[in-house]
Amino acid sequence: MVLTLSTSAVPPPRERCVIPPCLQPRAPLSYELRDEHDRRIAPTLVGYKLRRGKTYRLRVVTQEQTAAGWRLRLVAPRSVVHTQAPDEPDGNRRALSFDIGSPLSHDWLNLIRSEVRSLPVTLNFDNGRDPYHFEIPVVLLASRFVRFGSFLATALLSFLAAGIFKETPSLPSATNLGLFGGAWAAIFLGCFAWDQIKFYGQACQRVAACADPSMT
Amino acid sequence: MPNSLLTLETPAPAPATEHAGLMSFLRGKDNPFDVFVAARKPEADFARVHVPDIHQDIARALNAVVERYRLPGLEWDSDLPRSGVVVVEGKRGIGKTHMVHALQRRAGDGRPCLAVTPVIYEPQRPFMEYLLHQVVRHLQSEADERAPGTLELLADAFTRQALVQALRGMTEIDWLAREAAAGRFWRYFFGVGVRLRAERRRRLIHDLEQAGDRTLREVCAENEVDFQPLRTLALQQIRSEPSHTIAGQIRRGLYDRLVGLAFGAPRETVYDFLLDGYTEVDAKIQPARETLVDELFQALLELCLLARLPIIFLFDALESLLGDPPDKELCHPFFKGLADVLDSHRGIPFLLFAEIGHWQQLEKSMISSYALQRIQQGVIRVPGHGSLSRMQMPNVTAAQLQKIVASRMRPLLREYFEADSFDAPPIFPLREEDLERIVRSPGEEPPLRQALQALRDRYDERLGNRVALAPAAQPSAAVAEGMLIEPLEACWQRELRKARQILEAGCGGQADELHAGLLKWLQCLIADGVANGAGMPVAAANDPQAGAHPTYGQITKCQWRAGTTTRALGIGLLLGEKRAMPRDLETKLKMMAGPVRPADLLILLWPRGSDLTPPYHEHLPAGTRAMWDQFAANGTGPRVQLRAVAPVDLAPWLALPKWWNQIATETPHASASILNHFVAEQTAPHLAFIAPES
Repeated sequence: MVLTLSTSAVPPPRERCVIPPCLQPRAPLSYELRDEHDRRIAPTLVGYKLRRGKTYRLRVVTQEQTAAGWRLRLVAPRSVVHTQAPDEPDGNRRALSFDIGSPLSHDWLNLIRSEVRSLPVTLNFDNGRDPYHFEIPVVLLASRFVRFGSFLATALLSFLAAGIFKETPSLPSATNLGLFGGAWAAIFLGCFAWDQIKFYGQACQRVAACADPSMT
Repeated sequence: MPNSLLTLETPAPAPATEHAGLMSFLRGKDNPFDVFVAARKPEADFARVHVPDIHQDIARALNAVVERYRLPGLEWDSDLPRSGVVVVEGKRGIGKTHMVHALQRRAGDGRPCLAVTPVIYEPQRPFMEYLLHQVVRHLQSEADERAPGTLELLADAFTRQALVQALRGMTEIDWLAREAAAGRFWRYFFGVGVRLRAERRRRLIHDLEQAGDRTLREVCAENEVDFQPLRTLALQQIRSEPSHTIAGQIRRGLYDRLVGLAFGAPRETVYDFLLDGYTEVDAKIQPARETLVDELFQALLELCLLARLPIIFLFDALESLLGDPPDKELCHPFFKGLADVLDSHRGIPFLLFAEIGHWQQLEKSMISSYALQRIQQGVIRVPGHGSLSRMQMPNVTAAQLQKIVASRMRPLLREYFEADSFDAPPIFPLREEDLERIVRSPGEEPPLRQALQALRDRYDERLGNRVALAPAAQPSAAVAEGMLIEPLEACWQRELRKARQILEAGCGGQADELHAGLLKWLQCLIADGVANGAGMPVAAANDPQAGAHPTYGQITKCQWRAGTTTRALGIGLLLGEKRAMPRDLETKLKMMAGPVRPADLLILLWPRGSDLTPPYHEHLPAGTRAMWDQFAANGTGPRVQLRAVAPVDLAPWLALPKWWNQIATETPHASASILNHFVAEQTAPHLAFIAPES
């Protein structure tokens, strides 16, 4: 058996940093998430709302405001995020593009439900400072067409089924259509309400943690 | 007594017609040259008597040494300059102590530094521990109810930076949640108005980063941020990092107290930590006392250096600290300790101010080659001066003396003429020939103090307040002693008053000074042969390491003779307050509980109040009483005598070392026997406090 060592170099003995860790300027000066059209994603109390199957770009500026001397990494599960390439300098910051996993990639329930997750980000410094970790809360939304598409697909299936079992395919009556639309709207609203309740709970938890830090 | 510099010829008094009104005005004022001895601490009139042009080169070099340790971009261990020593030599009265005051006041550039000027030296205490206690004592002594001290400035700077990093470490969503806790939940829930909130955070960070004259509370008020949540945030930031090591725990404890202080906690919380709290670490094996002290000192030093606040140790009047002639019992541990610190710690400058002859004696026989080589290395890479290890303060020239006279006369002339420019020579009523005569020929200039004394006498003569006297006959020994008592008494009362003020404010942090004074007092009594009905002390020594605790493990040992029997007494002071009191008592009782004891009997003085009635242990607070009872049950009780005294009863011991040093400077011709006798007379009743009860 052969043990395969990691390709990362064994770090040489590091000099002691005199600055206490709590004062070290390791946290980013700012960061932002941008969509495929380079629009900034605005935060909400629950997190940044990202759509499944889309590509986003994370840009981070450190307190030194330079792109050299540090690296940006996104260490999220592959089922959630897939990074396209290593980070790259982008002016005085570093940027990283990533895709949110498609709704069908792992769990079919992702088609209709949203999910609150967090993206773990790590800043690795070349000068021997300890790495800095932080998490960006995100809401992975189901694609807005999925719910409508599922409605059409179900309606089409229903129409085809009627054709097969009734031998004379016909358009659904207004009553059937209304009934079906109502049922679908109820499901749609149910899903929406369920998401909002989840978000509300999450937001309340976050606010309460800020009001009483002992909860964290 | 007229100064010898003026006895060569009798001066002509100023003509009465010359500025007659001014002469009359000056006669009604104090002599501006009557201050010619610098006290141990800078006095209120320092700015009035300070003339920057005097010893300017030395001052510039010493300021450069201080600046060498003010580091703009400190980040790594190797950024810290090596510790070094600069020896400043000069004749007695040349202005060394004034130079120390100028450095303390940063008269050069006004940039702050922590200038620690030890008044006592404790040879039995490990040197690093001694330095730490001196720093703590310095911080305590500069505390003022009105103005913030170094500790407050440090706490403020530290907390601001911790908050900046904590706020930077918050994601936008954390910040929104914090804002939503104060209202507007639904707006932020749907992401409305979030940009404005982000701007608010940016402004708060910006204000915290500015080291202006606004306090933390004012920054909070301006930014409409609650004070308490920010305190919690700063504490969270400190506690977010793991601290499993001894150093980590000590640092976290220190940072916690600093944040508390910045948010309005009393400074005593920090003092308590610096004296006692740091010893309470969570470890499977209790770390050595040296480790704890080293880690705390290093944490404090690095914090000060990060705040661009160098810690300088200014050892003034080495002859007072190390004995004159040098005492090897004091010198060897001092220089060995100094050399060890130079080897093991970076970032500390030491400035030694010594009399020329005294330093030569030290170099010749009291400093080992190991220590001497380290001292001779000096402070390296001082900007504009290269390596500095030794400097000599020159005598004062006529031109410099003229500047001194002009500086001291200016306020009086301004007052008389009610203008900044006046129709009189700036040195009026003195004349240039007076100054030339005082300064004598080049190479024979007198030390500054002697010149000032001569100026004082000449000034009086010029104003006709005093007639020039012929050299007086040598007074008899009795008369000389009688003349000496007056300054001794005046100085004693002054120091006693200061000591009482300090003790009334709290004596928790005064253990080192009190024990040093206690030892000096015992030495005086022994030399003077003082006894009371219970016996007399015959030998004394301090033992700071009798107990395990760096602050509370100290006692003064005393051999007490009563008739033909001699007992080894230990004298301890129960100075711990509140939470620290049980620990203080426990440390003292533990010394007496083991089979190897530092003394046969421990006299424990509790500065609680003289109105208590024995048995005093019944008046101890509950936690401390429990500790007492626990040891009493183990059979330690008979070996310890607890006595209550009023805090001000300790004042003579606190005052004595300072008084002794002051007298050594002001009245160098006072013999040790006179001083011993004076102390014995003033303080003999105190012997009852330490006399063992049969």
